Amino acid sequence: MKFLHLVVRNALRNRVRTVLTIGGSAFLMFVLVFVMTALTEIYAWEGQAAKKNRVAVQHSTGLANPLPISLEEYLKGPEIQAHAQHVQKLNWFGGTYQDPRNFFARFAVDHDQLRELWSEYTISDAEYRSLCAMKNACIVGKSLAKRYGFRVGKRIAIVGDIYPVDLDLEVVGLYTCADDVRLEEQLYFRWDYLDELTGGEKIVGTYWMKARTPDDVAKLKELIDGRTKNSSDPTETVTEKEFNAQFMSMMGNIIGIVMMVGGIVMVIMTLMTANTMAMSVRERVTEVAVLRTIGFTSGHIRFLIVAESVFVTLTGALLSLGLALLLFNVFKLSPAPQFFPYFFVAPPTIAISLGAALAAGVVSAAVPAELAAGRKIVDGLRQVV
Amino acid sequence: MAVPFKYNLRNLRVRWITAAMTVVGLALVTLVFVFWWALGIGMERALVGTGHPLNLIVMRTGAQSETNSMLAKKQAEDVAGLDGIERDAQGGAMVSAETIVIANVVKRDGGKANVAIRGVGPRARDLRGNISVAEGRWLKPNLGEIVVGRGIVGRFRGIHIGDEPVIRGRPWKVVGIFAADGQAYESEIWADGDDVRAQFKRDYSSLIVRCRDDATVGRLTRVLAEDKQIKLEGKRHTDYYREQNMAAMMLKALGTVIAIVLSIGAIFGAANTMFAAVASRTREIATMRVLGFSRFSIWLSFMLESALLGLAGGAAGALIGRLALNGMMTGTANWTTFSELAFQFRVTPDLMLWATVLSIVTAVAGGFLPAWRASRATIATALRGL
Repeated sequence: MKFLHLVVRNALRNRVRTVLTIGGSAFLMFVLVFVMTALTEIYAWEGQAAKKNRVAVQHSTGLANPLPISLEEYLKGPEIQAHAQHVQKLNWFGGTYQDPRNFFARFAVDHDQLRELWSEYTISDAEYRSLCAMKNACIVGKSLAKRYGFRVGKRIAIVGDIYPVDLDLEVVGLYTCADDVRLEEQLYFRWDYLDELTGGEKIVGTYWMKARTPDDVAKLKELIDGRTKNSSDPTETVTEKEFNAQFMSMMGNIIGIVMMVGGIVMVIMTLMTANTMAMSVRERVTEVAVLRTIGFTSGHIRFLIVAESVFVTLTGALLSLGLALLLFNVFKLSPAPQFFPYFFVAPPTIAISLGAALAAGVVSAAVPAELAAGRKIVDGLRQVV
Repeated sequence: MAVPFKYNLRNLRVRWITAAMTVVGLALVTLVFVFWWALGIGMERALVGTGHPLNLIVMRTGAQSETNSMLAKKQAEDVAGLDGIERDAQGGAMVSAETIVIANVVKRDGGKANVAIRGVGPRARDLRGNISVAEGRWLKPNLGEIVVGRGIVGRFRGIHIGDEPVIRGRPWKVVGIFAADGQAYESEIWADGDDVRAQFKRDYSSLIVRCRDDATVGRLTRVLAEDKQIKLEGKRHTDYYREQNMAAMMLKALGTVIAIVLSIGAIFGAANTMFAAVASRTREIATMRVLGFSRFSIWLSFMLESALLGLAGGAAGALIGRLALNGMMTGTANWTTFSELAFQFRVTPDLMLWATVLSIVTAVAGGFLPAWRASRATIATALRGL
């Protein structure tokens, strides 16, 4: 720490160069922060799922294939109820609300199980009673409601695409989710309303339930999948986490591609800083020799140069993080609101960015520092810069 | 009088380490840009251009994709009887009623992805005109035989020729691999329509209709839209695929934004390099001024030197992108159809050109201030300085 003053003075020796390098690092780091935040947001809802012991039953041929209604009776029977409770039918409705760009999840569910199964949601008793009382009632997440101006009493018309029917829903309540505001982005309406519209076809997308204990999950998979194995509609019973993970798998290596951009950005930043440090050290040969003469060890020299480099990259990182936090966390801007209703720079992103900046600083200073520290004092003094 | 170009080349050679680092930095920025756009262009190529411009695709009103659509045999027959539909030599209507279902297939990395299975009849190939057998043979009806699109065969398990994958409770036999000029069909599995309808308990999904001429496409679209009884809508086959292109446009937009921010970062780096180049040549520049080179010539000379760095970095990045990425197979989910869309990275000559231009602009922007400073130096001061 006692060398801090010297490090800063050294860095500011050529102001233009240092400012340019810091500016460059800041822009490059901003891309890294941006890319990491996008990844965090993509993974956020996948990671949320682990804790609630929820289990989904889907068609083994994939989600696009409906399940038979006959399975419900078995799932609500004693064999399954010994291991699980709160069985709920859940269909993805899809459809269009006014404009195809208005993308949010619309689920048809057995409303009587909603509070128990999705226990992280808070719904007032009065609103829940309204949901039970009216067939075309729906509830929406508070955050979603805010974005689209939904309030109690508002009618929402949704044009069907997967189902050949149009919904005429009325908002009877807003739910909140204290665990994660991202889960306040859904609309839930009644499965029996959808079934009525489709003429009682009893189409079931998935069945959900809550395992009594985490240990019951394996038993549930064995029982349910074993029973349907030789039927015309075999099932695949999965945990909520596995359920969400399948969408990641569908997206394929796009995610790896995004990560690679982050890696390349770090390489560019290291190169740029290394260039600066090489220039900076080259013009200070005499100065370094003088420092050595008055008693600084080669270790000191090495430290001073690395510290200068780290000062530059860290300042750049702090600037970009500051900007990102301001834009995304304070002003709550999102690059694509329909895909990322939230775009928050998370603490791990901040830590990784600072770590990456530190590493880039150290790596880029390594060669110049070694050269400077290893040069003989006489050579340094003799050299004309 | 212009400063000889050789002067710039020699300068770059003298300061080759700094120059090389700058070039590598610029090349990497270019590579990122090429990468995103190659992805976007590849995806676009798979979708835009798929289908035949004289074909009409008929689906249930409101269904956004074939996978959501459903139509009954009677409806299909009604449409086939409409006036203006092309007929073959035997007088049969050029119409193909198809059933598209989705099944998950295990990918090579162990995950699963949804693949569209198209149940087709005898006319499906005729109506596309570009479906060819790349390996093996075409499927025979009612035997549970399937042919797999070239785009997915390498990235999924158990769908090579001779494999018998179990899909929706029955084994199917892969008898061939088909190609479709890189179009979206190469991401599909094709099977016999009756086999698919029986196994998936489904009706028809869509009807592909070849119109006699371009005007008929529009006319039949209107006829279907106005007939409220039939509850079907028509769309030009090529438009249907073009409308699914949103993801590709997003990729390109995102790639551009990322490349611009990176380029701004690179401008700072290039400026640094050029400032150093100018600083170390202060006396040289003054000498040139004494010799009679104008301020403008010197400014131009340094700008050229920057441009040269940009050209080297851009060309290297674009070339590496072309060699490493072009033609590489990848895929992602097409959320409109809820199924896999396979496509190739496409590093086109146009893209390479634009990427190089971006790099040159970056380097020139970075070199502008240093070059200006060089041209402004006072001769006496510069010569006096050490």
